[in-house]
Amino acid sequence: MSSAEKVHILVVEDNPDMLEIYTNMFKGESRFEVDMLSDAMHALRRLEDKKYDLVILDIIMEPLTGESFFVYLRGNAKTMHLPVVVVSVLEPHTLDALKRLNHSTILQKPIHKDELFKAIDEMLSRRTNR
Amino acid sequence: MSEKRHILIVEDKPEDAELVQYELKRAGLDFEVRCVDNKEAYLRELDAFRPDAVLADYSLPDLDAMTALDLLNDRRPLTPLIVVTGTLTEETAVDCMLRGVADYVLKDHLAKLGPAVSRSLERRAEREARKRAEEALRESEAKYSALIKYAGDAILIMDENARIVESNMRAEVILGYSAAELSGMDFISRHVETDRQKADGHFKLVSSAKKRAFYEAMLTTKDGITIPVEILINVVEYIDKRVVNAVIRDVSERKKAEVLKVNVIRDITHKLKTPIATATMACDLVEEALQKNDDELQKSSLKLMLGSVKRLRSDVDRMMDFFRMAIERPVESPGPTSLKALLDRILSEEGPLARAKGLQLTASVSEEADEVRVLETDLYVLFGNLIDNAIKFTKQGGVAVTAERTDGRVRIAVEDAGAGIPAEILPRVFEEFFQANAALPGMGLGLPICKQIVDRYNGTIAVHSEGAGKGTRVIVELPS
Repeated sequence: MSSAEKVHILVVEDNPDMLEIYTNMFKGESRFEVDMLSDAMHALRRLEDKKYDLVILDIIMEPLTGESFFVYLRGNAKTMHLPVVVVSVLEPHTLDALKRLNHSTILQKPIHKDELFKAIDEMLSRRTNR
Repeated sequence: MSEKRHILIVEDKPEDAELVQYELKRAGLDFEVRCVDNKEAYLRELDAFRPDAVLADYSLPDLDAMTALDLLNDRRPLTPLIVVTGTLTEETAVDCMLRGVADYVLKDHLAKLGPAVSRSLERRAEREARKRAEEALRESEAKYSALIKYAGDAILIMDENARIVESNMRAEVILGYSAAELSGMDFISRHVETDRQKADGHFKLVSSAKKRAFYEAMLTTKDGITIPVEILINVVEYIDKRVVNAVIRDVSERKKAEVLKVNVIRDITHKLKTPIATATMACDLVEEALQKNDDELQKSSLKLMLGSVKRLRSDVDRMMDFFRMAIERPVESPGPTSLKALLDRILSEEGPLARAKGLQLTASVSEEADEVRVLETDLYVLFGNLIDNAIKFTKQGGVAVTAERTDGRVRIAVEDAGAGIPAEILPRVFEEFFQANAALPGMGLGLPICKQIVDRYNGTIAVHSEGAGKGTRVIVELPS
C-alpha cells in the first residue's frame, strides 16, 4: 500500500501515556499513517502544511484546549469538513457544544481499540458518501 | 383582680373617712385604705402607698381637690381622683369634670360612692390596657420599619400595575437607583427583556388571585449590569390599600459558587479518571500482547499500567491528606521531630525520580535547626509535597533544601531551578484545586495541603519566583 492510498491520521494528545497507547493500538495497522502531536497549537500549524483524512483529539490540554482547537479547525475553509474523533475522559454530555460541530464523534476514555477503529471507519465512510 | 385595691383618702374629718370606708365595704370592694389630711403626707403616700384611686374632699385648708389632682397627674397619671364633698355647685362640678376629675359624690349621697369608685377603676384599667397596646404597636412599628429598612433582601411595595411606591435600602443597592428614582418606576421594565412576560404573568396572577408567586429572573441595574435574583411577590394590605409586595434576593454569589463547584468537580473527575482510563487501556494491550505472544508490548503495557496506578494512588493520597487536615484537630504540643532524619527519608524516596531526570537533590540542615515541634507525619506530607513539586517542575539543574535557625524558629527553604511561577499565578497557588495548567498531573492540592499543615502549627509558608523559567523558592518557618 503506497502512502497515497493510506489513511492519514493526526493524533492531538498531550498525555504521554495516551500517546504510547495510541502507538501500540496503531502498530501493525498498515492502512493508517499516523502522526502524533502533544501541542494543539503545533497541530493547527501542521494542518496548514499537510493534508490529513482524520483527527483524533483530546480535550483537556494546555495552553490551547481541544475545544478551542476544534473551533479554529471549523473556522478554516481547508479543515471545515475534516472528520474529528474526540477522545476525552469528560462525560460526553459535558461536551454538548462540540456536538453542534459537524463531522465529529465523541468517545469517552477508556476506549478499546475496536471501538476507536469502528469510529474512524464510520467517520471516513460518511465522508466518502457525502 | 384578686389583689387589694389601694385607696388613698384625703380628708380632715376622721368620722367622714370612716363613713367612706363603710360605703366602700358595702359596695363589695376588696381594698386597703390610707388617710391623709395635708399636702406633705399626700405626696409621701402617692409614692409609698401607690394608690389605685384617690378620694378627695373638695376643700381642705392645706390641700384642695384641684391641687391634689394636679399632683396626682404629675406622679401617677391615669389614676382616677373622685371628689367627695359636702356641697358642690353645678358650676364647680362642671369645672371638676373638665379638669379631669373621674367623678364626684356628695357626702349625703355616699351610697353612690362604691359604684363610682368601681367604675373609675374599670375605666382606669381600660385606659392602661389601651396605653400599653399603643406603646407595643409603636414599638413594633419602629422595629418592623427598621427591619424592612435594613433587610438583607430588597423589598419593594408596588401598586397593582407594578409601579414602585416604596423601597428599602437594599433595593437601592441592588438596583443602583435612589429611592426617589425608584418611586413611580415600572418594576416589570427592570427585568431583562426575556423575563418581562414571565414577570408580568406572575404579577397579574398575584394581584387577581391574591396568591403568592416565586420566580427566578435577571434584573437590569442602573449601570446596565444584569444580576440573577429570586423574587417573592405577595399581595398585602397597606394603609387601607391593597398593594403588591416584592422581596428580591440577589443570588449572584450563589450562582458563582455553583459554577465554581461544577468546575472543581469536573477537574477532580478528570484527574482521577485519566489514570484509571490509562490503566484500563493498558489492560487491553496486555491482553492483546498475550494473544500475539508479543513480549515487548506486554512489558511496555504493564509499565504503563503500573505508572497509572501509582499516579492514581498518589492523587487519592493527596485528597486524603487534604480532607484529614480539614477534619483532624491539631496535636496540642507535639514532641520534637528530627528534620534531618525526615529529609533523608524523603530524599531517598524521591532520589530515583530525581536521578532519572538528571537532577541533583540535596538537603543541608544546620545542627541547631534539626529539632522542630511538628508531628512527623505532618512534616513528611509537607516536605514530601514541596520536594515532589520541585522535582516535577524542574528539567535540569537541581533541587536544594536548606534549614537554619532564626529567632527561635526553624526556617527551611526548598529551592529549584525549574519552571518558576508567572507573577499573575503567584497569588493563587494556595487555592484549593487550582492548577496553573489543567493538563498537568496532580490534584491542585499540594500547596493548599502545605498551607493547612503550616497553619496548624502557627508557622508560615511563602512562595517566591522571579517569573516563568526562573525557578521557585518556597520558605517555610516552623516552631522549634
